[in-house]
Amino acid sequence: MCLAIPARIVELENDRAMVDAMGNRFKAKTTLLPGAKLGDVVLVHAGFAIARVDEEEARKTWELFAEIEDFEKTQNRISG
Amino acid sequence: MVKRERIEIAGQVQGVGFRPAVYRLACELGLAGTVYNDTTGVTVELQGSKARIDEFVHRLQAGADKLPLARIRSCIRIDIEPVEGQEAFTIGRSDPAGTALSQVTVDIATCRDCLAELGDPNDFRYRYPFINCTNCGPRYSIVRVIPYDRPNTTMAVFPMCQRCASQYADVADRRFHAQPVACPACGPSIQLVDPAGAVLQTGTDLVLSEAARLLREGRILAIKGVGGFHLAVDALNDEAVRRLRQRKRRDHKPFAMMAGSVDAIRKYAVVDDLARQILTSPLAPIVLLPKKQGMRIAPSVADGVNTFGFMLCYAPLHVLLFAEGLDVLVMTSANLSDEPLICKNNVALQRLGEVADAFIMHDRQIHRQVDDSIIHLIDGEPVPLRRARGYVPAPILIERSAGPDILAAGADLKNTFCLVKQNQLILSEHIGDLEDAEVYRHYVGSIQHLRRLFEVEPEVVACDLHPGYLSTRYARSLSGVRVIPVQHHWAHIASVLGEHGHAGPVIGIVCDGTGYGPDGAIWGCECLIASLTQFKRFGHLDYYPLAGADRASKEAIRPLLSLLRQAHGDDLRASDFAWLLERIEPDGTKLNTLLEQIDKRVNTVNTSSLGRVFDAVAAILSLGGYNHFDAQLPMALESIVDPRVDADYPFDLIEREGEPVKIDPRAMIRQIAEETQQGSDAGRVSAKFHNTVAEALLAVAQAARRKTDLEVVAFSGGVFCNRYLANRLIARFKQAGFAVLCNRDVPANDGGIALGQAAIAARILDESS
Amino acid sequence: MLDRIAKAQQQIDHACRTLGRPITVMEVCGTHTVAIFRSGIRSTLPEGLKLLSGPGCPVCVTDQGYIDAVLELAQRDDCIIATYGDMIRVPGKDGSLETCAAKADVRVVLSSEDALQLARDNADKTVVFIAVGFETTAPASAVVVKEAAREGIKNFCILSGHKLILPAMRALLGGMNDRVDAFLCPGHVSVIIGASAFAEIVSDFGRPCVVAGFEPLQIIEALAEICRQLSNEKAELKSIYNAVVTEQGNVAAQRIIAECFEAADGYWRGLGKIEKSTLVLKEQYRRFDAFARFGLSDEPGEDLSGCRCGEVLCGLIEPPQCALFATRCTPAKPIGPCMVSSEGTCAAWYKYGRRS
Repeated sequence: MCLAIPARIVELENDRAMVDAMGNRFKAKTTLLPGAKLGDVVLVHAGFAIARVDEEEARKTWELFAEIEDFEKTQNRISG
Repeated sequence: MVKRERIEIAGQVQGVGFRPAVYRLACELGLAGTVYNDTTGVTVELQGSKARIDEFVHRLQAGADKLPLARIRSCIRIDIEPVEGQEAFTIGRSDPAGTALSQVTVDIATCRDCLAELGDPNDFRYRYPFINCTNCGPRYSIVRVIPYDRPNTTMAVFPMCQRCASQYADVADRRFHAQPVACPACGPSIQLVDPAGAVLQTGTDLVLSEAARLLREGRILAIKGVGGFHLAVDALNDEAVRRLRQRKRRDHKPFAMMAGSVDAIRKYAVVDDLARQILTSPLAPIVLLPKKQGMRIAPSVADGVNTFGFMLCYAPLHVLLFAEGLDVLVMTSANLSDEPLICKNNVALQRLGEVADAFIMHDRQIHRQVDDSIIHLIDGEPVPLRRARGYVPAPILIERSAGPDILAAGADLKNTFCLVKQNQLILSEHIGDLEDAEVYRHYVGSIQHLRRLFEVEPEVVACDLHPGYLSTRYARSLSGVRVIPVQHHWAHIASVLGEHGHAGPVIGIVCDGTGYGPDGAIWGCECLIASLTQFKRFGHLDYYPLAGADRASKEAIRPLLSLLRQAHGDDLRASDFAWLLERIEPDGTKLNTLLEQIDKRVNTVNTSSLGRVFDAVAAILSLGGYNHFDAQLPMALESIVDPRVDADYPFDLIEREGEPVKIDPRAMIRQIAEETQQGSDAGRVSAKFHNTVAEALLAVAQAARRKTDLEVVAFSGGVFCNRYLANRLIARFKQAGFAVLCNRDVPANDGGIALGQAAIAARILDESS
Repeated sequence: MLDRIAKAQQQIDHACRTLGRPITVMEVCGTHTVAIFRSGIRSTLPEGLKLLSGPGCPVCVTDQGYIDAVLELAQRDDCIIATYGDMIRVPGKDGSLETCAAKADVRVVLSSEDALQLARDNADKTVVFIAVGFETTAPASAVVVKEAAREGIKNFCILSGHKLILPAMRALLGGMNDRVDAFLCPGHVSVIIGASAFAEIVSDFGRPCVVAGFEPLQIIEALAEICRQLSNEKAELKSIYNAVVTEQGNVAAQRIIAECFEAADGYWRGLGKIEKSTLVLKEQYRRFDAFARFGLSDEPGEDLSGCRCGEVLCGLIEPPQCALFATRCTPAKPIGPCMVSSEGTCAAWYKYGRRS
């Protein structure tokens, strides 16, 4: 399914961030999004934030993901 | 005193080398300014002395004939403010703004100059299959949107190389602003591919030599040309031709052929001077030519007709292919039965994978498929049987100043449709028989395409009266338009009136196989007193009943039984005519059932169809009992006519007060059957039958003249695609002092109906405003 | 939302009816492939609209030669293979990374950063990062290459199989191939390269291009837009994924790709050689290039016998037309990458598309 995941930046030091998607926390880097701030919702792909996402879009995607049981597994796959 | 004028030129002025010619003329006269294409045509801004500007306009209009394809319709001059310090003249980029009255020009056969370069080893386009210039090449078939500029055509994907680009920019060059210009370095290329799509050969020389080898071996090749794909096979190889017929699923229709030169054609068919001119014109159509006796064309190519349809090579690819030493090829449109012509590579592989043994493909996309046009000669004039490549989309101009846009939906068989914008009638190319689902979808899509190309927004739609016609249903399905239904045969006459700019009334003689009559009968042999606003039925062939209307157009036994019954009345017993009927319909039960239906008027409809009479007579003369394609039996009947025979059969005219005059064929039918039973020569009988038809129609016209004092007669309808009949009629009518008008720009068959519908709608709207 | 879907469906039906010819739309994004299947959109589309899956799955378009190179590296004692999950089951001549995991040191990573960390933590081995992906994933590889360069890390390299989607789209339209009428453009690649990158497809080939996201509504509205354009004989570039995609894309990501990589000719499964379609490390980063370091060939390899993934990737056939599909080639025992990858067309077809 959607292999770039929206997640909110909950911790940020330089370009190293901790992000949260539907309660799951994982590491991501903001090297590719120099202007990213704490609290921003960003699209994370292969461990990197690649775009800012609006809240509405993020929410929709999270709902979609909630339908997919194997959310864990999506972290393993590459896309685009 | 320095003046500046804007000159708006409308007409067929895009894609014909017009801008370069303007440029040269302006430079020669020392005028500054610019010229560009826009959606109304070409706009020129000239700055200089008034005398020079006047001279420019005069020379442009006078000299426009030097550009063989340009036709200036109007030239509007407007004074504008001079521009400070403008010294030079430039060709501007096309301007997409403005109202739309532009004309995309027709596709043009390769010109002599390009042919010379094609064969010149020193030319960098030597043997290049896509050579073209300002005066020839693809146009309508490659244009996506107007104005006509390279980025708006399917050539957009081929950026010009240095050499092509410099010719394109060089005012002295024949390729100055030639939009499809290309060369082997930067343009499209050909490939030979197998039915699975695997590449067999690349490179012009290898592709063509291999293709020629396959053709010589009797293989079937699909060849992508200008308007679409052709299926080609050696026309001297009967086994190969028969194989093509079999693989093409039906196909009893005569196949068209292509040859490399007029001399080559002369081996097989008679080519007089007029025919030669048409064959070698930029139109490069298929021309129907009388067969020569004892020649080697495979009998399966054109069985049952006495003409061959020949065309010359019109694309450089064809020229190169024939130069491999080919003599004459069948070149028939690549489609299965009545589908629209195939023009896309992947569709060709999909649909023709089991038909063609190999495919010559190329990567210049054909945006718009266009069939070859077919022309025959009537009364010393070229007349189209099918109007397509080379004709479309050049409009026919009528007398009309303004008014709403019109769509004429046409008829269901051999459909074309017509858009009317101001005074231009823009007839579509041949679409096909709408009852085929794909053809119907193509019809709908084509209407959209042409509407957009010419920016026509129809507020009024004309259509046939027939409630079952798909074209009529389509017309009625459009929202927000006014529908003008037009009787079929009236539309035929109106097509002649529209072409000749004659408002009527005239004596209209219309003969065809079928057309919806407002009285619920099927009309098909009519004398109408008609103008562009109304018609009155003066006379017709006496009604006979047809059993099973749909199948009646295919099974000759049906009209035959009706005519025999009508001719012999109650005296008719099937057993008397067993010698005749059993041959055509061996099933005795079916015969009796049909006869009963006819007598009891069960599932029958009255008809005056002349086409069905032709079917019946053809059946009597053992030419067959079934029309595998439209007019197969009538064509066969024409093909056996003995032209030396001047005699005819008796017939009657029934004239009763308050009723239309009726032609009574009973005596003729009786005699035809009798003579056939006695073993009379079929060619003689056929000739006498044709001659009788001419005399009968003449008699009705004379009665009409007595009544109305009208001297002008207009002929139309599918039956007049019969050359022998048409020529005889014209001669007899002229002898009788009538002025005769016939279809010249559109076919007399249902391919011309849309023009008539359009002309009527335009005139009705004019008169009501 | 339901009525927006209904409206889009109506538009599609109407356009297909009036157009007069069938429409073929291709998507070139594995995520779209799966999303289309999951949503069951195909079955709601009219007969005149055909939706083809193209070369949108980066694992699938990776040439067999690259796979062979990966497996060759896996045999070495001195290497740790760090890879994204999808690659481990792609079969080579003698098995896959998964099956040779007994002998080789193969680690699945979620991020290129994890691969670089492996290098830091295992000074005695060379970490080879299997860098496969389109423009969405290439920046991740560039970032770690730069990091490695900055930190002077010597035991790290990448085997770059990154591919560019636009040259593939051009290859699909060029030459004798006129099958595709319009493109559904990839949502995530567009995040990086920007929606305006597809303008050349529109202007050169006259094909509509619509950038869409992955929800059913996005896809169907994109199809409706494509149908609307085609029935008006227009060809335009439009993005309806504006929540995420901008005209220019992610400029920082583009810059970092340009800093580390340059475009070179490369081989794609199914499409053959495409000019300037793969990313190779620039001269100043060549020391991180696994091809150079290990003298590996980047020549194309031979597809496994009977495997028709190449044709599937061009939209020439649909998976059921491959004789191996669902018989000898299944997700459990895949023969070609299209069945392995979660975004592969065959895998999607197998999971969602099988009908009676």
